Amino acid sequence: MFFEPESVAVIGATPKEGKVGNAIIKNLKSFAGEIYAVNPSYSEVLGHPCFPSIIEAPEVDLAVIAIPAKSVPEVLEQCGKKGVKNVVVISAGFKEAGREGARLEARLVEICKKHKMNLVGPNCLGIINCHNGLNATFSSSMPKPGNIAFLSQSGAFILAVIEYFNARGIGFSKIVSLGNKAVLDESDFMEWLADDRHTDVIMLYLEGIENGRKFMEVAKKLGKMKPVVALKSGKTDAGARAASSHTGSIAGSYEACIAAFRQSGVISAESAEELFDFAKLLSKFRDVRGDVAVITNSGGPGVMAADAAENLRLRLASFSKETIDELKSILPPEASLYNPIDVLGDADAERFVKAMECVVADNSVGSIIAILTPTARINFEKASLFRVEKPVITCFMGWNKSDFFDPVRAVKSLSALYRYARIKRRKEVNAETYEFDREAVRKAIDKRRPFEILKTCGIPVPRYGIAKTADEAVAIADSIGYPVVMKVLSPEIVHKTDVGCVKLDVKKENVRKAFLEIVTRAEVLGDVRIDGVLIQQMVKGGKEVIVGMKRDSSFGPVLMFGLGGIYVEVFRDVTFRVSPVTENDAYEMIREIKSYRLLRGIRGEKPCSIDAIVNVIQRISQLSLEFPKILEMEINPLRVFEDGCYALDFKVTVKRGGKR
Amino acid sequence: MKNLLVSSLEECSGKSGVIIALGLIMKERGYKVGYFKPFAIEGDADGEVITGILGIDYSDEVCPIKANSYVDFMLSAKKENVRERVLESFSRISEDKDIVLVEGSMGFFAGEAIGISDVDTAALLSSKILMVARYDGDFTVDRLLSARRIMEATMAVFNQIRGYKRAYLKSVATAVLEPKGISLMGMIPKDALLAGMGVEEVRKALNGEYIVEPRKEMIIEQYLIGAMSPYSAVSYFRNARNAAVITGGDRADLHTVAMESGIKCLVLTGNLEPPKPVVGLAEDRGIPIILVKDDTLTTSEKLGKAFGRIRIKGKRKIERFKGLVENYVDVNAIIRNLMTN
Repeated sequence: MFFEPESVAVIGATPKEGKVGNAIIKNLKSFAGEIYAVNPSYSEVLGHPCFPSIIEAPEVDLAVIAIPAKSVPEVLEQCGKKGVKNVVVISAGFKEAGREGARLEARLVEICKKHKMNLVGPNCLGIINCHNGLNATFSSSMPKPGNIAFLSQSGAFILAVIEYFNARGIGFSKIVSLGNKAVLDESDFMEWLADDRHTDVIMLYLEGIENGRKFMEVAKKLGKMKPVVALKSGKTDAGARAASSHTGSIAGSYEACIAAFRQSGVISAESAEELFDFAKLLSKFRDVRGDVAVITNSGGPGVMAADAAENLRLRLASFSKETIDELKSILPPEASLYNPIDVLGDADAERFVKAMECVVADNSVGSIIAILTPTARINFEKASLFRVEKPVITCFMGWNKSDFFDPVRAVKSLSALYRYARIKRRKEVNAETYEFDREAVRKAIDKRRPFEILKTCGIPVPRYGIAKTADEAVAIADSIGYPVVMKVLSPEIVHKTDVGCVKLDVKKENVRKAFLEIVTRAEVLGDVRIDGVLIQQMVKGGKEVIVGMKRDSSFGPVLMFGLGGIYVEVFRDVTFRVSPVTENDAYEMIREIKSYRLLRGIRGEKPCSIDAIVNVIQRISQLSLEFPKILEMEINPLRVFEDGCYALDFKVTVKRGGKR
Repeated sequence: MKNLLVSSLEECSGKSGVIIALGLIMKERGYKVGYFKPFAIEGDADGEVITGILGIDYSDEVCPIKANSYVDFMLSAKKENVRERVLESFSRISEDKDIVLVEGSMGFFAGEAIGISDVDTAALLSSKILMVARYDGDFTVDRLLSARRIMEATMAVFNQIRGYKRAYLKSVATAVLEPKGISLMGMIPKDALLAGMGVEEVRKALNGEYIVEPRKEMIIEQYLIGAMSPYSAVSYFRNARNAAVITGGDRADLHTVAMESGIKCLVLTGNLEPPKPVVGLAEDRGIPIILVKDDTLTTSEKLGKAFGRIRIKGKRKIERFKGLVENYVDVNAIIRNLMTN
């Protein structure tokens, strides 16, 4: 009902030029339904009947509020009593403006709950339905109708995008300025847009996602029906700082967000330009099967396209014998017949179009990138008159009607189409569930026994024991077998190796000495708690990886996988997924890191058991979901061998209960 | 009537805490408990505070000898008069009491010059002695043994033990202490809450102003400096317990991350007011924000110093210490020892 109201009331409408309430009522001029103004000072505003309050007005489907923030709760309450179900609050001065504003916003949420009202904003530009003239915003220009829906957390950005799209003749279906997202957020609108017949693509600009789980759930379903393209800002520390200081929202981390996009089938864009390119292309083409063919009249740009394709992991098609034979009959003998096809600089439009039509008939070809440079013989207009059923992207360089100038940008956009095709065909599988003794895990968590947690969950750990005296240390080491590893147990010493509190490869005769050395070194550090010394079976060989989990405020548990060892902080070769992590996700994670080849074994080394890592990742994922008390955990390192793995160190941070 | 002199090897060992805890426990068990502190320096408010907690009437006789300037007092005071006044006050304090807890001075030796050190007091009042020894290193054992050379057989409690040492000290007690007539009655672990300070105390120590005021009594156990990226900060903040974060007023990213990670108080430096949305969020979550003029380094140094001067104050801390004494000190053995002649 937000987008198809029969009647709209503009609360705060005014005939005074330059006011928001004036701009909104003017923007509604092409709306066919009833329009009422609400303002106690007038009986009529720009030809629309004006009422002192919403109570006096006839039945209203949508109310747009543009009055000072402090009066909004009272007016909203009246809307509730009147039975208005949909409200847009344009007014600013809420959460973004500090404590008073935050209180006012909390009241809006309460009133909406009480009267079961939907609310967009506050602090937003408004909403637009381009197909029925409903422009309930104070924007200065009217967007054209089209099939792209745009949800944005920044109102000002919407204004800019409307101008940009208008200049390029691209239209919108719906536009929503989300504002502070007090009641309705992006997920609510995404859910609604799934069934909107005017919308083929959903374009998002977001600074923060507060309810990440809901977002993922909605996006997963929506992504199977329509492509969703998103630009998430606040990627760097500087960006995140800027975002927090202007929205004050506790948004999920960028890593979590990008992992969530990937898992829920949202195509992420790196820049505004990519966002528009992807949305535009996906508004024209919905599917692609087969590889890429590049056709050009000049070598250079063809090479650029080939490079870009390889970088983005797109495959260039290998043509069939029939296609090659036919190309031979169309093209001069010097022409390059293999992908990228060079029809040569002396080609005219006819030769070019013939070649395209020939290539497109090849079954292995799914899409075409057509690149032309303005030679004397070519006529761009004629060259664009091809009849092709498969997606074609034009780079007619220097022509204003071309899709792109830069072949690299064209390939990048095309990759979004391939991404969407994969998303659509992706089979959804549930994550594996393992059986383990939950009660025992809970006890191990409460008693702060990290290794016991792992053992109970079925993650292999070396034999170990905890010694509080040198005598105990010897007894434990004897029972484990030699050599052993010894490490100080202290919650306050983070980098144990750096301060000499870890001893490797300790033989029987050195256990006592090692114990005393470790505790003495730890004591020198000053006021630190030393709980004893961990004695562990020494595990030699293998490769070191990390499996970790950090609970994100918005997306919940986020799993991390990467190369381990002491260089981990330098290389940051890590990848993330939101739990639950499926078997496929886990394999994908492992393959994704740059050091994957190391795990496979290089120069005659034996490969590591990828299956063993996958198993650990999935078990940690399950643990993170079943025990919300665990805020963070990290197996570092997980030592992987040809036939299995061992968790050598495990840190876990548990949420503190209210009771102490 | 029996009396127990709680003495110590040095200042700030935890005598007052042990007396409060023992007093409360003994009261619960039906004993009529009295409190006596024969010698103190003027300005010492232990007497008023502890009698208040233990529900005992306070009079000047609770602490009969108060010296303004010890150097002057050493010359002017007459040993005999001093001892007489102590005895008189004690006899009145101990009327209708089952047990009187006698608090020693700044250390077992303080007051020696005027014949009123803990050693003298114990002899004068025929007290049983409980030594509270703050365990700040293994040589604490030696200091305890050397005190024993000039004192009667005593009971002892180690305070502020951290971690694995407990396992060793049990053996030390039998091998080293007992043969010399010292019975170890307990080992009290170091506790972060007891070492903490209230939000208002933090504000005072830093001379700051509230941007968001605390809604209830909150104890800050540690402080962290926020200077890293938000992603690393999350782990750091989550690992902290009842912590305040000191960071610049312009680090909105860290402010929000800190509030999300369970931080109890934000101390914003450089006199930079936080962005409005941050204030709104803090109000919403009841997290106090203190604004200070100093930079982050100076602020952390000031707070560090303030953390070194903590006392057992407030209901929560008292409850906590009492709990520790119940769990880690053999109160029954102390009472038994007290009741035997």
